[in-house]
Amino acid sequence: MNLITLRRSLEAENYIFDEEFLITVHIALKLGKPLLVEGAAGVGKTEVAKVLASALGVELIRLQCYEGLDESKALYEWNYQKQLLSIQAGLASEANLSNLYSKEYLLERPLLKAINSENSNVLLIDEIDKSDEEFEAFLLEVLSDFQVSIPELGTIKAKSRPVVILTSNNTRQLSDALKRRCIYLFLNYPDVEKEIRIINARLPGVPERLAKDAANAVSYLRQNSRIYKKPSVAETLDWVSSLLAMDKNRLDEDGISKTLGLIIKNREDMLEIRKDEGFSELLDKKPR
Amino acid sequence: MRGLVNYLTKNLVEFFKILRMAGMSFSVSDCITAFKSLEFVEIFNKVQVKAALQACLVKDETGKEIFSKVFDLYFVPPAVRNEYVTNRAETIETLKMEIEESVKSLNFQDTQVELTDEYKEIFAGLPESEKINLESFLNTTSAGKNVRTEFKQLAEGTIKGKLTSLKQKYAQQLIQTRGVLVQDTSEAGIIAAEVSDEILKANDLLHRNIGEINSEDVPAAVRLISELIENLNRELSRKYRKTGKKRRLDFKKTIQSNLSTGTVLFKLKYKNRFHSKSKLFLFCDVSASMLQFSSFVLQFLAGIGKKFTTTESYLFSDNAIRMNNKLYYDLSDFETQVKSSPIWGKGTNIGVSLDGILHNNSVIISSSTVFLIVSDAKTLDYNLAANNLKELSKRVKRVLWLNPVPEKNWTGIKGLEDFTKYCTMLDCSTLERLMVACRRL
Repeated sequence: MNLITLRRSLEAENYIFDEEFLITVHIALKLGKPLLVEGAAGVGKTEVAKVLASALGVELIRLQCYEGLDESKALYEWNYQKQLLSIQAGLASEANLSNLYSKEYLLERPLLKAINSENSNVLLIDEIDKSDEEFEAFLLEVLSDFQVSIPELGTIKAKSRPVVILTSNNTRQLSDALKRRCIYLFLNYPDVEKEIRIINARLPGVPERLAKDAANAVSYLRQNSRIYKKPSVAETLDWVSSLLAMDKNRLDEDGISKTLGLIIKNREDMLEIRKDEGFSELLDKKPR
Repeated sequence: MRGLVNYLTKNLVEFFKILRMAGMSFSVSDCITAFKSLEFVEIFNKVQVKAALQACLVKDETGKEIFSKVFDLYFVPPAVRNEYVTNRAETIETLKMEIEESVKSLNFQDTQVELTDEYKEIFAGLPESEKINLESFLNTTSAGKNVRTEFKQLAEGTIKGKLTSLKQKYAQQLIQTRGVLVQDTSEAGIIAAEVSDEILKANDLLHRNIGEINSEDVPAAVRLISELIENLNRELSRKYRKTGKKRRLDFKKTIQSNLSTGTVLFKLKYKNRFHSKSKLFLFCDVSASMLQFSSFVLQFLAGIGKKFTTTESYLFSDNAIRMNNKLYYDLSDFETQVKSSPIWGKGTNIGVSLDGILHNNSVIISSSTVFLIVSDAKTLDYNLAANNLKELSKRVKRVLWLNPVPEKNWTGIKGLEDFTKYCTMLDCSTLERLMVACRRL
């Protein structure tokens, strides 16, 4: 896929992106390297994989990382219940005992599924920073050679290389070895203009003034160093949706007071906003 | 075409060199990938070239900032770049001359005081009043009765000590002269220094000594400290740890691994030990030597108290007292309470204070306790402190020690080397160091 086709495919998905994003994804696809997407929570990291799978017309396979995630949850597991049943039903004779360790009894987990798939796919390894360092080290083999070793079956090589997207909220430093194998993309919160475009793309029919007011307000909150939990893009969309449901065509005090909980999620931030005169100035005082 | 490729290669290699000088870190294979990436973009499209190189060389958010600034300074028409570099080099040379000129006024009996480049830069960056004070100190010292030339070394030592303390006082102002005398005036050196300075100024709060964080910076510092505590909280709450200690039988894995023998249990498989959540025990130094860090310490204590509901907090100086955790929610009450405690601003005796913890039955410390000490490690009776620390390290899961004194100055603190045998001591002299320390946990 060349740059022009990629651009068109992403645009067809109604995805708002800039040149930096497009080139980075293009380079990752051309070099066949995993794409590591970092950024604060809620900037749209996971969305990158979903949109890319859709734009490339391939399946999305997702591996959600968490503390304690191990190979049996990420790679494969033997279906021992099936194996036991086979033994007890006398299906596995002495001659074909080794069949118990054939692909028939193998439970594929996301990593193996992505590698074993006949067709190309997008493998999303979400929130890699939540997994343990041991798991990160294990991933290195998969990401460098796109192959895994199963003692009973041998080495399985990828039939078609999956497009790998790793996301991280940067809650811990990833190892240099992992970073070295990846193409890097840092996603920041969108600026006001981009946020308006996102609102318009995702919520068609939003009054122009409301989209602008909401994007300005959210941008103001993100720049305020006293606000601890910054509103995410998804939260902005939910917020605008609820304002729309209230028949608001611009941001006013009434709308804010009833919906602030959708973008501000903790008590300290709420108190901070209520006493912030700069934020009040963004509002239209008359309810509409 | 070959000429263009050679020119491009030379430029890129120089660009990589500047990025590294400005503080970025990437491997040779990253450079090769960066070269390859240019095959897939329009080479005369600056935005595309920038994005392609960035995707291959950048590995974190700060790296992205450095990359962008270096790229914008470096990839400009050669004439513009040459003019910029020449002007900047001239400015640096002038500054160097001014610094050298300025220290000529520091004389002891008509002989110039010998100072390292760093001290010269500090002196040159000081306000005139401070310079005059130092000059008059030297003049007075030189002119005294029976003052021999051998006293010059003594005077030099005093001047250096004064300059060190003034460096902390005028940290902001001294940014102008910092590193000027050792500044590389080549094209690469100038661009890299310009970018590093900008990044340093933008993240000034992170790099400033925590004792110098003033009231205006407190909200930003609190935010940073909150992030750090969030990291610490996350780390301590990790439940699954592989210990290798075999305890409970894992039936699923056992049956699975014995299928080949018709489920006759030849090989036994065990579960990894499930760890309970760690409990944090905060042990904070509020003695006189720690007063300069009090703003940081109070914020840190309050932050920890809010984030960790199971925290036990003790303050100590010549003895240890327990803190009421409920106070954390109102910082002003908390501050008043801490400052009015009988141990605030006293001398330090870590050994005696730890004794109170170790031999008090009402204090609960166990193998799941993470014992966090915040102290500069300056204490009386450091042998007792080391012994008690040794005993403590055997009874708790881990002893972490946050030290607000920069690591380079640890050698001057008596007994510190012994303490480090029984705990993980981390430099938290700046918020940036504290951030690095939390990531290393």
